[in-house]
Amino acid sequence: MVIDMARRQLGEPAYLVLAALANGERHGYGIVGEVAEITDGRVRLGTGTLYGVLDRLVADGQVVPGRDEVVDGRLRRYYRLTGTGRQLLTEELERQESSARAVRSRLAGAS
Amino acid sequence: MRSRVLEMAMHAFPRRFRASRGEEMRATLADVLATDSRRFALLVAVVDLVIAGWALRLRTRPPLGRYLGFRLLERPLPPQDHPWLFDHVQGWFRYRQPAVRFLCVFAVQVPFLVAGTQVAVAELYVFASIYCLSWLMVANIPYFARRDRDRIMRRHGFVPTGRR
Repeated sequence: MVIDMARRQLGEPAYLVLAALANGERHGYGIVGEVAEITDGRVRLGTGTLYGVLDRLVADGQVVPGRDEVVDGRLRRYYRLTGTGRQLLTEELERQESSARAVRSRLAGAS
Repeated sequence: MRSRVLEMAMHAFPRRFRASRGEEMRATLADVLATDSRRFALLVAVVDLVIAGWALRLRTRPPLGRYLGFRLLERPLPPQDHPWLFDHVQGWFRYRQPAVRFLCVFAVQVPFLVAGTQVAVAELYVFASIYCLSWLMVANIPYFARRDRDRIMRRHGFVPTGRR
């Protein structure tokens, strides 16, 4: 099952959502803010995109919904990474680092 | 106005999804739009909701073979497709089948409409009958939709409840 999940193409929004949850649980708006911070404001995750991605990650067991709280009459549901979610994120990170190293060495060889 | 537009856009998401995550989505949308100063922030949010909602609908619908078997031959769907089935029979899609039946009857009367004023008195009776039958079918679309829904639910081993 882990192999299947690792083989699955992890799109950028899903990767960023997993990354936003790497250091603790967050609610929807918290994830949007964290993604903007991670990407230096380059990516503004739309609410529809965010919940579509969360639905898939929850269905795949990579993220689980946690506690609910109501702030100013608004429901906030917190999400956190599971073990498989953390593993998938680590594998994706290693894959990206490996690609970056390969590209860097080619650039260095060309100059 | 703004909340009504967003509420309409959220209908791109399946009914079951809106029931389970609608409230927190509305809260997140409100937080995001309150801090987004872009000129077309609302339009961007609406487009994003519609695209993400329909992507989720397509992703969670039964595979094509099972879907066609269900739609064309009314083959029962396996349990993993039941959440989709409940949405299907409760949403406006259930009006499609009776509406198609109406269109078939309506198509029959087109030649009579084309003939117009040149029809004989006897043909006028035929025309009037078909015309009345068509509108009778329109009036009965909710009845046929309910009947279809109940039949589908029974076929999947569920007891239909409620009159919606």
